[in-house]
Amino acid sequence: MTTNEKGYVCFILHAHLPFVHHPESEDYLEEQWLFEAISETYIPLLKNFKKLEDEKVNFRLTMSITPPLLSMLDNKLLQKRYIKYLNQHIELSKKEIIRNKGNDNICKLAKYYLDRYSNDLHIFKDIYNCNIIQGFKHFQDIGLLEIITCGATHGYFPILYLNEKTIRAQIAVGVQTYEKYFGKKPRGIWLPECGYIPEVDKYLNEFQIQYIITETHGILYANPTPVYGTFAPIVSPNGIIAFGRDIESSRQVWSSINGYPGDPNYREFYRDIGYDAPYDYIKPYIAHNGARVNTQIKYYRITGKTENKDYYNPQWAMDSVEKQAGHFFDCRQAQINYLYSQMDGHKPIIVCPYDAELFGHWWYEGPDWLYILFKKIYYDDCDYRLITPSEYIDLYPDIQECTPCRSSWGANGYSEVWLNPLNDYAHRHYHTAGDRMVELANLFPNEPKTSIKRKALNQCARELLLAQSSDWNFIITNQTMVDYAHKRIKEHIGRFTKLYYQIKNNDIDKNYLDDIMKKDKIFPDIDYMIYS
Amino acid sequence: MPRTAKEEKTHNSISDTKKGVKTNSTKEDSVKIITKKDNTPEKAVAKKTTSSKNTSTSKKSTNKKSTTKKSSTVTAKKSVKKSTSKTSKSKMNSSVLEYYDLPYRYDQTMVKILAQTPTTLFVYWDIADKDRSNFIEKYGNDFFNKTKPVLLIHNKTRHYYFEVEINDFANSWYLRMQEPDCEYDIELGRRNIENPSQYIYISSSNKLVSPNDHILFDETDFTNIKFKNIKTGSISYKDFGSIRLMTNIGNLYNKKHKVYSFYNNLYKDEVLDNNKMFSNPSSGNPTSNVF
Repeated sequence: MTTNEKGYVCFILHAHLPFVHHPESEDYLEEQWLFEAISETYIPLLKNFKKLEDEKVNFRLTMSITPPLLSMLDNKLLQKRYIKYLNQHIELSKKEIIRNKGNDNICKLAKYYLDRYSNDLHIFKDIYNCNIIQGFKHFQDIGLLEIITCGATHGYFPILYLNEKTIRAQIAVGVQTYEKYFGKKPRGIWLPECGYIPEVDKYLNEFQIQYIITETHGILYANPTPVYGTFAPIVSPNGIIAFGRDIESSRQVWSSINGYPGDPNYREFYRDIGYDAPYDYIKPYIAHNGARVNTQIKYYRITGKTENKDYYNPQWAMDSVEKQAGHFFDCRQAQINYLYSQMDGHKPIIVCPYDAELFGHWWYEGPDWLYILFKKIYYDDCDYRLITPSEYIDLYPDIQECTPCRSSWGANGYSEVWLNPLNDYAHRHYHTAGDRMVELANLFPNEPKTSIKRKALNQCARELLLAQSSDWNFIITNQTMVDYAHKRIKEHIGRFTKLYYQIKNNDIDKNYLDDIMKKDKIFPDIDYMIYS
Repeated sequence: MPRTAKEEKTHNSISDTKKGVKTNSTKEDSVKIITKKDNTPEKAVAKKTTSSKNTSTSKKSTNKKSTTKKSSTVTAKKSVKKSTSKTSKSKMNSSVLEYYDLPYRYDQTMVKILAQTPTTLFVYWDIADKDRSNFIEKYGNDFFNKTKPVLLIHNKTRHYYFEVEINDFANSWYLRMQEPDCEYDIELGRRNIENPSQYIYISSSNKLVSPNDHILFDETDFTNIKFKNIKTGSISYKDFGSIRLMTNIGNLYNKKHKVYSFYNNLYKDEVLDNNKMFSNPSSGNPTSNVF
């Protein structure tokens, strides 16, 4: 800790998952994205925050928790299914202890998983009453965490903005959802995929959002050139403050060659009993259609570039965590001292944004690494401290005025991930549905509260928002769960279009409407007039 | 293979299903697909003539080369793709069976542009049936045979136009531009094949500004940098002509002013992974490239 700091480090974790909610079936593997993220990322983060709070470590962290993720965490059906998921994992861990009798290494790990999932169940049910949002809220309320919002469904603004009302609605619903769960207005927003266009400024102003995060070149390619590079925020002519990602620190965490998550002692993601265990034995715990999938019970460490993996050893993994937290800590010390000497007394801010799910889900030990690092920064001798963007701008309100560069944090820095020959068929549908939504809001303004037409209009808004999730285009580009992504685009555009005609023809099918309202149950308080 | 004219004219409206699935058994197919087919195939179009590439508005005749042609079969293929394999009918407790295909087209006359990269634009367009009929009425039955579709690209920042010939089998296109950070709009039109000076306007696009792709070091006056106090709103100007970070940056830059060289120079002793520099750092597993 320091009282006379020369600079700041600002960690930002972006927690997001697309809205996946299938009351009609339990067979959607995509629902497990949420369960895995709760067990591997969100609960471990909360546990580590709690440890830091108990140890009186005055840390700072910024998190965006997106509206679809908040909606899922608050969803009764998904909460129930998460408990079922945990119970299955507890049952499987118990069976694993028996199956692996005689192999001490595995037995120990199976017991570790049994403990871990039992503890998750306890934390989820008994401590958070099935709703972990309040956990994050608590840390915001006591000043350790700053939570910011995001676009309503993570719609990618540089594509959607052809109809600006649709990005305004993404922001409006993002802010409303935030207020519902956190009881105040967000000061910052994580632009979905860091997709920045200057056209968004006026809507951010309208909702009193002060700051955004951009990719490195969002700042470096700004006009005029920012004199402090990414080491200070800039403010757009319309008053929106932009913080840019620091390349050096994010590369250390990320790099596939020498990044931290590739340490040989860390848990190997790709060896999972879902694939390794005898088929008949593991069948109840894999996909309903019998396909082998990850169970998240994994016994091996990365070991090296070899097929022969050694057993995972949690203690060794913790040793690596310590070592790497120390490395990161020292690198920031050197970086900040160098920059401070170059910036004529101006104190640099090193902005380190990551997907939250990197910590824990992909990099299993990531949440522990954060814990150790934060403790080090607080107790060890160093010339910097942790800060949130809000604290920084309150301390240093004199900011260079520049227009940030149109950019994103996707591959190559612009829109290629969400707009390429694999997924470009979708954009005319997003745009037309957006135009039609605006048309509906103008044709049928202020329908009475209880009317079926209003219900249908609000559902149209939900379907449009869900279709706009950047995730579908991302998944198509990544060639992973491609069929599911195509299906979701088709379904939401399909439902929207069908309702659009029903509303215009004054022929709303109530059963149909009720059915899709159950399926796409998000944003219960939405008001379609945001599109007028 | 180009899409056939028949497909081009197919309206695939959203299927309309209301029948319930009360039991677990697969219900008789209650899916009613309303497919309005207009079988009048677009006659001519067939082959582009090589004649008359030059036009009165075309400023840069080399631009045809730089056009990236897109596979126009994507849309058609995607819409028939089967939905996720994980749906199990046996578990459906929903009362409504749904089946959708994306509308193939919306029967609107329009042209839209988006920026894929600082120098690649994505354009898509359509002409409503009503407008097609109007053109035929006005210019004769063989209007669409005697003309070819073109995009007129207007670079408003650099004040020039050029024209790109497209074809009637496509409904979208990628265009490679010469420089970043320019404002564009695009016009969709048709040019008479035999009489190239005859141009018929169809529709205009949205305005678009393409992203910047380099550091504007030379364009910035460092002796007069504007600062704004975001609490008080007061404005001040500072001289950064001699600040060390900037001097260093100035010395470090090479001609390209790209961010890679900036960081490679700033962190000389580190091995930077240029390929990773601009990738989303977290949207995949760090231990491999699989999501």
